Amino acid sequence: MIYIEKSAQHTYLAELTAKEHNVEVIDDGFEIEDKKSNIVISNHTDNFVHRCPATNIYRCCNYHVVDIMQGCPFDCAYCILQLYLPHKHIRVAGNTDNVLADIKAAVKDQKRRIGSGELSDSLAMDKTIPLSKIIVPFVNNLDNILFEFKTKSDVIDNLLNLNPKNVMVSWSLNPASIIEQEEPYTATLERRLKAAETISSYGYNVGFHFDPLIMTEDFEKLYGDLIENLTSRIKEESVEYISISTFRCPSELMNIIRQRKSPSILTKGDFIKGIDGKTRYFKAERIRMIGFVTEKLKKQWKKPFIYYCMEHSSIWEKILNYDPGEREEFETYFPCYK
Amino acid sequence: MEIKIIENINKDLFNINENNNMPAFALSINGIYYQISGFKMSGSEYIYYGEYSANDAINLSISFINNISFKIIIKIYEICNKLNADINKINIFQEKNIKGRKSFETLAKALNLPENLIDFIDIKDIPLKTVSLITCQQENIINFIAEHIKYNDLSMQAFRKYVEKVCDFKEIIPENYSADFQFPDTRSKSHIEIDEKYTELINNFKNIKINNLDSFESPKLNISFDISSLDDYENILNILENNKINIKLFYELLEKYGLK
Repeated sequence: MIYIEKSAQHTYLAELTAKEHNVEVIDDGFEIEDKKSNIVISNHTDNFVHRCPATNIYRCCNYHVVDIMQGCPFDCAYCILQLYLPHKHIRVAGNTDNVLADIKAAVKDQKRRIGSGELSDSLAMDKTIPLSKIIVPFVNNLDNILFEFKTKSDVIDNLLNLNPKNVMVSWSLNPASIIEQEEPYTATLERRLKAAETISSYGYNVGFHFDPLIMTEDFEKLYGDLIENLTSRIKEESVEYISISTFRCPSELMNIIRQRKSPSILTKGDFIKGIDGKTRYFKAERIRMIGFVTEKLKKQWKKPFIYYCMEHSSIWEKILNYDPGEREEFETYFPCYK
Repeated sequence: MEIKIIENINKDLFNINENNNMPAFALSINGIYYQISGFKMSGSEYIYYGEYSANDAINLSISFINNISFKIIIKIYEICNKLNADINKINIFQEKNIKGRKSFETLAKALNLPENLIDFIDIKDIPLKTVSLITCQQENIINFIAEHIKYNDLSMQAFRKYVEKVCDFKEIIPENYSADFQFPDTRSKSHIEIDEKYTELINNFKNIKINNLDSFESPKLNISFDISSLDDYENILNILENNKINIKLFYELLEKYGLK
């Protein structure tokens, strides 16, 4: 069900949504049933654009995120939203003018990569809440921006009618069997790859996030096949960047995962407490896993920029033979900054 | 307050504390009489407090209980539900820092835990988040944990880790408890090899403490020792010198796995 708070009723997004879907107008602050299938469009007052939270000590790429939507229809076992958000329903900022103003301010003096997929999936709800129709035309009129829609869906229809100028679309990827077990309700691997093929044929650059890599007995077979599949279908020239990182999380999230109905492979790994306090795989295994995926990708693709998210500089040096430095220095390695 | 003969009184709802040696107090909620203490007393004469709201009645009845155990807390929650009380106005929950939907869901489910497990949670003061983890599991998992504590006196920390392990491997937990049941070793080959060499190193260094403090996220080994004489100092130097080769081999092992 889509709910619109009274104060957001006459926003452009609310009117756009109400044109195509049944909505119910509610009083501001009215408590709806808290479930993932409920959406509330309301006026938000936060700062919308901020640095990705990242972590201490491990390398951070200075990515920025825009929190226009909070909540996700998917139910990935490892999702940090289970810890971050106090609600299951999806909240959307109806006051998109404020959101866009924040985006504009963020890129006023310097180039930024900004994405909308931190507190939500960027595109999963795009058929219902067509944020891409508002965001894309706006960012295309800005200088200094590369806007990233990050998704586990195949909801790209709206984008096919928009200009890809300052926009890219990226997919989180895992082997099909892991997607089925640990990423319920998301698009299958096949549908994600098909969507990536389609969107790149419409002139969009694409990205891929091998994150989280999950430790399994047949890791090399599963991820090896995944990379073969990916690299045989997507044109290398259309790939803007690829990130790789292994599963990591605050320790409290492990207990949340343990409380899920279905058993998860996530809790069976060789874990230690990282220097940042997060639960991570034993470092030698991280090197093995990240090293394997990096090497496999580089065998097929020479050009796309590969980077590691929230990883120690020593792992960069070990596998890629350099340390990108921190934040502003790190981001200069991205293609869009050259 | 007044002394009152009350024939038609509910003696069960508030009878949650076995060690209640208070006088027989009573009150009424919406005209219905409830005994709230002195349950060992017989007869129908009560010290009647008057008409109370559900919230105030519960708060008053709790004030007569000295030791509020986990068992008592879950029974208080049960009373709140039966009387439709506002849990936000029940003082004991705030005092025990029990708040949020999840915590109260745990209390509701905890009513059905095996008795010995509830007693264990009480005695060992097991945190509510560990109890939450247990109450979310299927019955066979809960029973497995309840059986295990019959034969093993675990500390609070050890119990927490045990519960986490059981939950991690819930799909291979046998239907019937077995003391021989072993959890798989989740350490990788590299980790096992490094751990074994690390243990050897610690043993070789005798009374010199040698430590890695970050699970080999860095190759840093912290070495420390105490001396009380020149002889001690010379002994230490000997041990350090004799272990040069072991240190070399250990760092070669770390290098093999990219940790140096």
